[in-house]
Parts: sequence; C-alpha cells; structure tokens
Amino acid sequence: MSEIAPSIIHIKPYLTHGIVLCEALSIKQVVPSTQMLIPYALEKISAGFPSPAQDYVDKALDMNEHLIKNETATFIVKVASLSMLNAGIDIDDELIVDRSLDAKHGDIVVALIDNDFTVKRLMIDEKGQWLKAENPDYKNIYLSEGQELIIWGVVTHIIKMTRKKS
Amino acid sequence: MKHENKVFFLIDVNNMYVSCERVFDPSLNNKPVIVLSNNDGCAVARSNESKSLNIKMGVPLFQIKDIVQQHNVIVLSSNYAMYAEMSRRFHTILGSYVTDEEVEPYSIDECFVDFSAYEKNFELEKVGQQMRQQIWKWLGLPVCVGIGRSKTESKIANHIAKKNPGFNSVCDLVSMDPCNKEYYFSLIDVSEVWGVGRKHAKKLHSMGVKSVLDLACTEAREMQRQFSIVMARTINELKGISCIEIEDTPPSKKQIIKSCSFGAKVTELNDLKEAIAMHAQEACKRLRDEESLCGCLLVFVQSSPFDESAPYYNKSITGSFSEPTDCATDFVKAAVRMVGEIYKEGIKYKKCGVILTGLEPKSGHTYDLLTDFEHIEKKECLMKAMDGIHSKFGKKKIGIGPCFVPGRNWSMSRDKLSRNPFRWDELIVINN
Repeated sequence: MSEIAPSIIHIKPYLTHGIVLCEALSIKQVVPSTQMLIPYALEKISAGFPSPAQDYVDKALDMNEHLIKNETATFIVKVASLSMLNAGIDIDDELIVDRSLDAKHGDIVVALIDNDFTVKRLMIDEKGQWLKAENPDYKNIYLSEGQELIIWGVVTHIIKMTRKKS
Repeated sequence: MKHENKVFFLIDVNNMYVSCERVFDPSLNNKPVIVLSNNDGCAVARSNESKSLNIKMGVPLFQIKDIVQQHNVIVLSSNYAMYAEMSRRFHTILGSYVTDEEVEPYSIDECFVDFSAYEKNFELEKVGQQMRQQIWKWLGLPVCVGIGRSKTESKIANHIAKKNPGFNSVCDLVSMDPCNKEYYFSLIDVSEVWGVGRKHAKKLHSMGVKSVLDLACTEAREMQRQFSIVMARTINELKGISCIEIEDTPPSKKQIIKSCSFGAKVTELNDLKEAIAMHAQEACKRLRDEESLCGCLLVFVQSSPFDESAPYYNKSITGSFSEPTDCATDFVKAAVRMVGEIYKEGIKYKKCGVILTGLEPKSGHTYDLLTDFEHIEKKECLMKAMDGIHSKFGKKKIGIGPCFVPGRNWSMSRDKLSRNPFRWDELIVINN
C-alpha cells in the first residue's frame, strides 16, 4: 500500500564512492559451522518398560565438535588420486585438514611440491623429510636439489561415503 | 597522562584477494595476478609481481590489455564469498588475543587491536610476530603489523612495515628510537596519513607540509582553524596522543546500497526492470536481516563513463513509502515503477542499483492510527515464507519477477571466477 512520490535528485556523491565500496558493504559473514545434533543413547531400555526419554538421551553428538578441533584453521579438501588407497583414501573422499597442527612423522598431510597439491604420508628420518605413497603403483616423493616441501595442513579425518551414489 | 598508556596494533593482509586465491590455488604463487572488481571491470587487487609491472589500483582491464598479454598476467574474477570467509577467520584469530571490546574489524582485510591493557606483560614486537606467524600458518595469509600509540600511528607503522623489508613485516613505533621514527616519518608523503584526503594533502603540500614528519610537527590548534577538528585529531594522533577509540560495535547502518554493473550493455526497459527488481529484493533481504524498516527508496541508472562515443547518462529518482516497510513486494513494485520514470531510450546502460535510506529499527516503529494491520500481517507471512525458502533451498529458488532465471541479458559476467572452497560441491581437489 505504499505510495511513491517521485522526485528527481542527483546522486553523484553516492557514485563517487564507487563500486568497490558498495561491494565491500555487501559482504556477509559466512558461518561454516552448522550444528547437527544426533541423540546419543547411553543405555538400552528394557523392552516393555520404557523409561522417560530424558533418562537415556544424555548428551547429543555434535559432529562438528567431534571432527573439528580448531574451526578457524580447518579446511576440507577432496581427493582425486589413488596414491593413498592403502591408507583408506579413495577418489572422491573428503579430508578434514587442520592447518594449525605441526606435522609429525607418520602424519598424512596435504603438501605443496613445486606449487602443486599432493596428499601423502609425511616421513621424517635420517634422509630428512620425504613423502610416502600408500599404494605400490605410486612413487614416493623425495626432494631433489632445490625443491621445497611445504606442509599445507595435517589430515585429521577422512570422510568416506560408503554408499555410492546411484 | 592516560593517553601515554595506549597501544594499538593494525594488522593488514597483504594483497588480500590475491593472497586468498593463492591459498587454494598455489600455482598462482610467484606469478603476476590481478583480481577484478565485480563484473570484471577494474583491477581491485594486485600481487606484488603485478604491482611491479606498473598495474595501478582500480585501473580498468581494457586499459592494461597489452601488459596482461605481454607478461601473462593471470586475471581472476572476485570471489567475495570466499574472501569473506577467510576474512572472518582472520578477524577471529586476532580476536583471540584480546577481549571483544578491544578488537575492531576495520575492513575485510584490516583489523585494529587495542593492546593497552597488556603492554606491560609483553614485548610488543614479539606479539606482532606471533600474530603474523599464526595467521600465516593457520590461514596461509601474509600480513603486516603496525604498532603505535594511536590508531593513526599504527596505520603509519603498518605502512613502514610494508615498504621496508628489513622490518620483517612488523613495525613497532612504540619502542622505536625517536630519531629513527622521525627519519621514517620524513620519508612518507603526508597523503599516506589515515584521514588525510587527496584534497587536504594538496593544500598541505602548498603550505609546505609535505611529509608525515612535517604534519606531526605542526601545531594542532593552529591547523584546526585552517582545516577542521578532524585534522587536529590526526595531528595529535601522529604525536602519539590517542584520540580515536576502538569501535567494537559498528554503528547501525544508515543506508543499504545494492548495485551492480551489467555483463553487457543494456538498452531495453524490460531488462532494466528485471535487474532493478533483483537489486530491490536483495537490498530488502539485507534490510530484513538487520530487522529494520525502510522509509525511502532511491533508484539510479547510469551509462559507462568510459564510453567516449556517447554522452554519460546518470539519473536517479527517490520516493518515500507512506508507511516504512520491509516487504520485498513493496520494494519491487516501487523500484520497477521508478526505473520506468528515469528510463530514456537509446542509452546503453552499464549499471543500475537501489539505495535504501530512512532506516529505523523494526521493533521501535510506531504505526499510525489508520494502519491496516491485517494487510501488514499478510505481507509479513508472505515474507517469512520467502525467507524460509531462501534459507533452506538457496536465495535463487524463489523471487519476484524473472530476475533469478539464468541467462538474463544483463547478468553479471564473472568469467574467471575461482571456486569457493567453502562449499561442498566446490572443494579443492587434490590430484596427486
């Protein structure tokens, strides 16, 4: 029921602020963590004698809390390689990567070699640092002269869909 | 005196947009990269490699075509959703150093931290280095840290850290030897000072005040007479007397602007109407998120200022609602009608948009005696249903008019958009 009474004015001042400014204003914060709560049954109830719901639903499971220790430093990546198959990482699996962790010997890491992403097991021994493939068909990566290994993040969990999409 | 105890940090991400892109696409490292503004118009972020090719901030892409081709500059569309999430994380990390009241996210890539309360217990430069290393490790973003006795000083310190590699990205003016400080101040042009605009810089230059040091040495009260209280405050801040406090609660918005340039030039009124309907709906969404009502709507259209073959056309129109509203149908109806009023045939439109002003909190609004509450209730139910559909199925699933149907004549072009690694269907893929 709104009446608009048109009157023409110049809007130069708005325009001089430019596109960049209005775009900055349009930025919304993105909150990646939703909470999915799954009731957690602490004890089995005996058949025929149900106890009130509150008694057995004690704490709800929060998958974010369980899988992500440091939300600010956590990223999720997708795998398109079979080089870690024997470590349980298949194509299309998603990896939870925590960048705040210091990588130690034996960690599965997302690393950069010559500015290319790779996922491998980090090995630290007398030879120094090298990357182990967990699939005999793939080669381990030893650094050649002048090559740098940058640890992008430490893989903490593998999210694997067990029921393939039909 | 109280002011002597103040300590401010200004932390600023180097080449924010380019740095964000590089986190998820390391092949961009060490190469000249630029990120374009919306609609792929101008360069709004440049990697250091691009800066040294003399690509200036804000330059339109067509003006640097030759440089881009010759040096294989990588050109990207801006991916604001991704930058916003990285920015949120950047500010979260800095927020963990102090209380909520002591941190001010100043922009997408800048953050002020009031560290006064902790000065005695820490070595400031070490704290700065720690912030820098943490943000680098956790997010992969390079930052510079400036530390000073006032916000203005911390800005200058940040500038010094950026321009002088010897500082290792952290410059602490609080503990710096005064002679050194004067030396650095004398090297920086007065236009770099926070709050000194281009116009004032010109006037200052004509008065012989050329460097930051010159300005810091002027008499604040004398300068207030010639400029304004703002200038006096800036001068005091440069002398290390803090006059500008941390703003932990951003002031409530005075206006909401939603505009965008078109992918191709638009000449038809129908296309303009579709586009303006979309801006009206998106602006309304933001209004509703803030739980405000809007009393006044401004609609504008404009042609390209760079097109030399045709005169520049730039028209706007305002209208007020008889009753402040937050209902999208009101906005669309009004905006579509208003754009019809300012439309002129034969113009190649480049951009259109809406500005919502006369904002007031919804909770505080008093309706007048003759308000048709039943009607308002109905509109509110409709809007609630639409909001629900938007949050559950995405904001393009329902809309007023055909604006969200793909392939509009006016759709924004974002040819070189990188993926948003914070969406399940666009995660970074690791091939090795």
